[in-house]
Amino acid sequence: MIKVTNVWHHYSIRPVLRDVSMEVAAGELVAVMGPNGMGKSTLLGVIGGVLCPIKGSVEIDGRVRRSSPENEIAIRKQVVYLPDNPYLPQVSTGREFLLAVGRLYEVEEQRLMEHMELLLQLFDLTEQADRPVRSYSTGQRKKIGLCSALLTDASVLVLDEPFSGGLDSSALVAMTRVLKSLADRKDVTVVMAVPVPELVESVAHRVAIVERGKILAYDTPEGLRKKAGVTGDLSEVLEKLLHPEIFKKIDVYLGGRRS
Amino acid sequence: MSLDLKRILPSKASFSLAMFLYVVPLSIDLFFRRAGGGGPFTGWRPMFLVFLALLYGVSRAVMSHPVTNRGYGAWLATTPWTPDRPLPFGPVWLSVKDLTSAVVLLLVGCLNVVVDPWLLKTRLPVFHPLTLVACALFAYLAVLCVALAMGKRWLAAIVCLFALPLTVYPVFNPYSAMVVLLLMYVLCYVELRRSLAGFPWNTSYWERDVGEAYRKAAINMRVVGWPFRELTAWREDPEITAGMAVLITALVSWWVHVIARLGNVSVGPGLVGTVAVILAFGRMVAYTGKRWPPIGFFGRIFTLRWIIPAYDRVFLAPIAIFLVPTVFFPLLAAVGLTGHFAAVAVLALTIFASLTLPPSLYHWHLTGPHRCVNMTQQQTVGPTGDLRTAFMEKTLPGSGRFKGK
Repeated sequence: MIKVTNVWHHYSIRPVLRDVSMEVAAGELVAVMGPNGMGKSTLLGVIGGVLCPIKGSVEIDGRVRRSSPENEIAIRKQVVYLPDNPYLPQVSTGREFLLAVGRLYEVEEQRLMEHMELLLQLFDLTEQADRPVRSYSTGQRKKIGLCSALLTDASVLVLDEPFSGGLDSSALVAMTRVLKSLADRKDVTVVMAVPVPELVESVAHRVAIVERGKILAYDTPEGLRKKAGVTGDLSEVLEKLLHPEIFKKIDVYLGGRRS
Repeated sequence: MSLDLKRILPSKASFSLAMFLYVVPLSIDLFFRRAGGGGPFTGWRPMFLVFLALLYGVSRAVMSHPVTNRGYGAWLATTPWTPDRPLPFGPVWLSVKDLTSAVVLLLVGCLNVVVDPWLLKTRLPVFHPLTLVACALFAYLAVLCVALAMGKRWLAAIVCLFALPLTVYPVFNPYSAMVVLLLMYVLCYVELRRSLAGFPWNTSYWERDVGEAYRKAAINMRVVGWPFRELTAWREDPEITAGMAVLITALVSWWVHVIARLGNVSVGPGLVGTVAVILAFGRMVAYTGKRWPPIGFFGRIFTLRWIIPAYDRVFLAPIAIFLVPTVFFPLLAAVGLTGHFAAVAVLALTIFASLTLPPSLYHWHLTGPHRCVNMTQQQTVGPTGDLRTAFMEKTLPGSGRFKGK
């Protein structure tokens, strides 16, 4: 379980996270959504461990992050954080990179080899896997980054914008299915920042909407619909919650054009 | 040449190269001498011989010990060898055959003492013929100290590391040096036999576990980077205990003192101050280079949080290290201790402070209130060559090919 308690964070003057609290149950898949620059990536960075909150704490499976070396090491072994732009080696091959990440997370060797092959097949990277990463397209780089996170077999995945970065349609479908399968397994907890609501609805157990560094709403897609008072898809819910006047403005605009 | 002798003496290729590197400068010196000038290598050739003797001593120990020659050790572990039998590629300890090497070194020393000045019609520079033998034994024992430490024979290793400088302290005398070296050899021999009796050792400590070696290589060779490197559970930052710090401080200070005396120079406040600045700066870079404060510089200014105690405590140790010479030189002078010994004492305090002042690097990396910075975002150059090959070369030399003779 992930427990974020009263977290504040700011890099400079403007607070990026303001008293954020949320809980993610074990085996749950939570999507963090919201406009750009509102603190989604910072929240994931704090959960992932690269950022330390100015105030507040992050607890994973009962252990508070950075509270002691033992706790931090135990957390690091079970959490993988994949940012939007992870480092990828240029000269090493994709396979070498994946092997290195898997071994860093102490994945059993046989399991590592088998899982790697399956992931490479899933993301159509089998041919490319033995070429240097510098020869990869943007989408292929994104795919190899995703493969690295999935390969770790970590019980907590913190993924920053896993669907962005030039993924092709088959990769989007594959990633959505994989996430759905992880969500169904109940032994893997996933927190991901996603700007596209359409991709989230079918996989996320709960959705957290972040606006100006605060959690505006945190509920199941159904709960959010009730809260917003709309019956449409999640993007409509999002807009209703974030910009309540947007529909009025649209009506005014369309009404004006008709007249 | 018998097989044992072949294992003890340098290979033909090394011997030929050494001869070539000695004879060519000698010929050039002779040419200049005949032309009436001074040879450009006259002063360097004895140093070269000393270097060769040291190199021979190192290789003699490294190649024959299954701890230091890891390929040999790994291979040996797969054989039915037991400690009660002779090592298949010759003993680590010195045997009668090693007398051949000693005689050769003695002859080369004589060559430098007698033939060289005769050829060049000069008396300088020469050294005692025993010097080369002492140098080779010194290097051999230095490697054995490391091997003993790797085999967890701590006490013997520490005693030897402290005793080694006695070969040149207070003054270098080849006879007294040989006595010290032979006494040390007796201790090393006993401990070495005990160490070898435990083969195959409980190796998790010194013998590289392939997984760990691979992880280290992958991180060092930048196959993995942000954020896997920053967030790995495999921290290799040393946790230095007070006892270790005392030992390291004492060893370094002792060696500095001996080397300074050997070079006939005194350690002064200038050197200690420089060391303090280097240590303070190095510590600051190690702690804060990739782990920045939670709020940026302007954030601190404009939010009036000029000091963030939880993070800024990391700067206290470097400041303290920097201040150690400033505070302790006058204090020691006040009690009448000045000059070389005062400087060595302050140097010891500086080293001790840099090793022990909190927080430790291990604690800081895991629990410090910092933000990990993505320093590799713009990184475009990765490791060169095939990772597997480079990894094998770096971590398990000899695993593909046996390095013994």
